[in-house]
Amino acid sequence: MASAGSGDEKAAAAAMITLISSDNEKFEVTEATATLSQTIRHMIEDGCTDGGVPLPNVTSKILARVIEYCKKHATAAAGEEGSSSSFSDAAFLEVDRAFLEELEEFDDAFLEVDRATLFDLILAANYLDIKGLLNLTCQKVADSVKGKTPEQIREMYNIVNDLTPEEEAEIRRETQWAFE
Amino acid sequence: MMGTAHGGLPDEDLVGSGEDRISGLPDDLLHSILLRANLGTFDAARTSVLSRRWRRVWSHLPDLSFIQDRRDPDSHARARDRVDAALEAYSAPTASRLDIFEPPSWPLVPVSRVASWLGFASRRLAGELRMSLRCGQIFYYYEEEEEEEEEELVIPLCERATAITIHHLCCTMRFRLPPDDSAFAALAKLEIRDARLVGRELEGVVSSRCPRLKELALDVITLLPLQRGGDAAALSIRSTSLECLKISYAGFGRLQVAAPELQKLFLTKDQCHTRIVAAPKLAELYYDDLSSYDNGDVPISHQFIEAGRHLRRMGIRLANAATLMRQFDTVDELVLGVYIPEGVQPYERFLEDTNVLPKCKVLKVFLSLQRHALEPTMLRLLRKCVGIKKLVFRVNYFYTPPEDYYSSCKLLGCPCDWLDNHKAEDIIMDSLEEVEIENSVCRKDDMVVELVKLLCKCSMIFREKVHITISEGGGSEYLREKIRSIHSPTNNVEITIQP
Repeated sequence: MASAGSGDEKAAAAAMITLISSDNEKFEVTEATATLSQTIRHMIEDGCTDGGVPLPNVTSKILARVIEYCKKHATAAAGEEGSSSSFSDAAFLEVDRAFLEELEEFDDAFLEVDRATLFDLILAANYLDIKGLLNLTCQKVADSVKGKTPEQIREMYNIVNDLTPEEEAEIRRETQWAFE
Repeated sequence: MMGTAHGGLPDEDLVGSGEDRISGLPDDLLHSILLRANLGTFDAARTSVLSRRWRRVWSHLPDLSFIQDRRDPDSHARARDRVDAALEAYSAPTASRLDIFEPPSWPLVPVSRVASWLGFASRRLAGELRMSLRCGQIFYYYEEEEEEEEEELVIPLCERATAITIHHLCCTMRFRLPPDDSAFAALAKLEIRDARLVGRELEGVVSSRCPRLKELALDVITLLPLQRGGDAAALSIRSTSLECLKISYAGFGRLQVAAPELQKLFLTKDQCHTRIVAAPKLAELYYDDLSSYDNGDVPISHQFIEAGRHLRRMGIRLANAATLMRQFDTVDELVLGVYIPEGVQPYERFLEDTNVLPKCKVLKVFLSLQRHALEPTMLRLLRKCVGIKKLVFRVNYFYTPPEDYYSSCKLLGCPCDWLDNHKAEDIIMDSLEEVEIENSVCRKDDMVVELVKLLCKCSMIFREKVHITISEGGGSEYLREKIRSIHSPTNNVEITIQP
């Protein structure tokens, strides 16, 4: 953390948070970006972010992606706050709409990741308590299992069927009502 | 099957690396994925055969949802057995939601079965119950004695339910609560549509067994007397928590409400006698009526005792609402739905109804006219709403312009044809600042043109320049041209047409 410099620099530095990934990489982010994570927000409120926030569950690769998401959505959150005051201003709403569309495009592009990354993002979003990101990533998986048979789901997610044929038959009998 | 992935990548892109990552997620994340997929409990339960890990994942899902949508009505009995089986197999100690919906075309569900579903809710639901199904038995009206033995559905105590919505039950709902002080302790919202209820029981439950009830909605309800031949017609609600009360098409002879926290009240026209004995915080009042003026001969009384004379918002369909409107002196926003059917009498009624309007800042008008002229109707409203700053006018479907049937109103001597009623000079409109014309929902360009013409005619009595905005779906050249032709820059109005 910067301890010297002009007042302006100090103010700016004070609003910066250092996040430390499991592989010890440091990321400097603004407080607005970091506080999209409820977990980090609570740490800031409790005043335990000096010297950086260690995130032992998140690798640098995933943390970089998470920060990318938070940066984009932190601007959006700021925009939303501003928009309520000038709600009736049609021109402003027009701009807002364009921004929301852009955000949607960002989200779509953001989700174009391999499956391993997707699950890492889910776990990171869960651990960091970032509601929007958790929604987005879980929805992606949810959409993919919708309408699939158990066999298709197994295949899609490499789920190894460790049930013996007898056990599976028994479960199917027990939950026959679900398979009709 | 329910379709493939929406948005993002096609499924193939998720296939690959060979590692099973999904099974490693903690249960709450798996739940959140399954709930987001909106699978319903039957579909979710099929994941039980994926592997050992998945065997019991579904049975702890917080939400239970049974939306029966099979086309084949013969499948109903089995479909209901499936619900029983799922509830039986469910193993979480509490559920936060239970939804059971059946298509209205299905045969009635036996009372005993609904009672067992409600029993589950009573024991294990800590959250929201939503039921939409028809329950009871079909009566054969030629056997009158049979009718007396109607089965009743007893609603059990659901101490942890936060919201209960029951629709289309058709049968009689009873509350037979133990005489102790047990309560629907968490219930914040109760909505019942289409059922018969015993008035005294409902009163008792709402007034003394729902300490947290904020919202009560009763829609198409028939009240029954506690004993045969007793007085069923009255309902008296006392609640210290109630904030929103909606009573529609219930026709309780008398409704009495004492609710110090009440903020919003919705009534329909068939609610003829209302006594609001205490509602000092009442801010919004809505009064709806979908029928016409025809059956307006029922004496109507609405009394507001210990309520303010000011409302933030009042939404009224102008029929028999005069007694209601007289209860309030000022309203921030007055929303008037005006429907005047063909003929002299309905128009006279309209004039009568608009004799006293509360003073308002914003006036919103939804106008439906059958063969009556727009100009005198709008002038009447503007004359009676002195001091408005803003006028919002929404174009309605039901507008038959008089030109087509020129003769009827003229021949009959309808007041809308009287010359005096077309005069604007004596109207005071010195506070009007803006007018919004919504033409986007259902387009009626002629009606808009007519209204703009009227406003231009009135513009000599505007003190300041008035801004007129016309919101348009699509933007018709015809409308633009028409408006250019009536609007001259010397008018005290400024017109914007939004595409």
